[in-house]
Amino acid sequence: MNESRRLIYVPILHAQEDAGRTDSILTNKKIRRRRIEKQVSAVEEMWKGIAAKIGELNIPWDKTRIYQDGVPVCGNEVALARRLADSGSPNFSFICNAIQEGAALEGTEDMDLLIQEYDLLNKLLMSNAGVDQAASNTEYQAKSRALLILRDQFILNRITGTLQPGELPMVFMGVMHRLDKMLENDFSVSYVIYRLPFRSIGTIYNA
Amino acid sequence: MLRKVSLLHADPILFSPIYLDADKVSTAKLLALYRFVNLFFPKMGSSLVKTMMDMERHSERLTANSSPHERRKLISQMESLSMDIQFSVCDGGQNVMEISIHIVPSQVLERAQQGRTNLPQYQALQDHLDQLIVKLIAKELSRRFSAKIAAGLKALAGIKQVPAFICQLLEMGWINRDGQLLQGASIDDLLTGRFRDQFEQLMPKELLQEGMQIRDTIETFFAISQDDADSLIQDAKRRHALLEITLRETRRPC
Repeated sequence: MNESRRLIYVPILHAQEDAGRTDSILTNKKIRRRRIEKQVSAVEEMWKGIAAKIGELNIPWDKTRIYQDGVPVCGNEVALARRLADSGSPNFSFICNAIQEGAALEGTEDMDLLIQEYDLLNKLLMSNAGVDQAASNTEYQAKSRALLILRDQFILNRITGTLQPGELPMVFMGVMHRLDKMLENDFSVSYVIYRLPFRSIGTIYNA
Repeated sequence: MLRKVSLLHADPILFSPIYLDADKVSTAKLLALYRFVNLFFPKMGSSLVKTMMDMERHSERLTANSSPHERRKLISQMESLSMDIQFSVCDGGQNVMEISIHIVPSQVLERAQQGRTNLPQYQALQDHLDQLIVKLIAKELSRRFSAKIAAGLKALAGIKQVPAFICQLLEMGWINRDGQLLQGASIDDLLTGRFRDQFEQLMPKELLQEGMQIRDTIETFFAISQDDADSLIQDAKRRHALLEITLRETRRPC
């Protein structure tokens, strides 16, 4: 029934601002700081690029329903988006502008799964100071990956369950999610990618 | 030596290993081969992949029409059988890419009967495939970008008064007279390292910008990997802080 419905999918990176300016947790080492600054700058540029690309699509905002990575089904999704936009998040600033244009923001994630993700992150960050960091990282990655599948499954059900006839779904998801692959069965997925969504590391120039 | 990247963790139902010698494989030749295959075997690749994916993810549904008795019979009849599909690409007599698909039909059916799927393992498999494909994409980007640089360097090497920078690169064996980058040359050094200033002065601004954009893209999107613990922790801190705000806000009464 929904096979030919169009869905706009925006793979995103979480900006430093998305987390608020958490300078205290950043290391003072020059090389790391430079790297983080570069990443922040690349992410800012990415959001400008995404905004420009979406602007070219002539989106009917009053018929658009937005699904956002990390926004739980909680009843005060719009207030949460405003709070995160106020903290300097380009992602949520964009969403708040879209809401002003008439878009609807839908609760997207399962709160329990987000709490589980939070607990996993807590455990990883607590153990980071310990000696067996590599083992902690590996354990986190395995558990987080399994959790991500459950989160994606919930989000998929949420999209198919809440989307109203005639509405255009727009999905903002972190690059680690594989939701887009799950959506392909029900929707015709159009990607808005400012830059290539590479996921893993490699030495490009002298490979 | 052929580098073997295993995509299999001792599960006979999943794809067998894919071997890829990314250092030796020529992406230009692979693209030509891809075009050739599309011309003469247009559906071979996609149907094979679809079959494998269906076998991995939807075997229960695909075998739903056969009765449990029939399935049990098939399982017992095929118990010791296995199928191998081998696909390899050689260049100059050397194997540069190899895809071996090993299927144990009785286990495929058995798993379908039990309704078992192993999503984390399937996900890990996809991640490995992504890494291989990304490596090829990165190599192709590098090749195309190198060709652009070579054109610029060749023009400079051909003028009457060859700039000192070009002479230096020639002496170091980084480039040849045609401007082509030779083995050991580092584009990174040209773009951001010790030769950055000379490179900026001599090469077109757009080329430098393009190179930097590719570099930033790779750095940003490749930032999180199993080998990069620092990036993992930084990313974890960001997401932790983001979730902290989210959980705090959503628990606050309206």
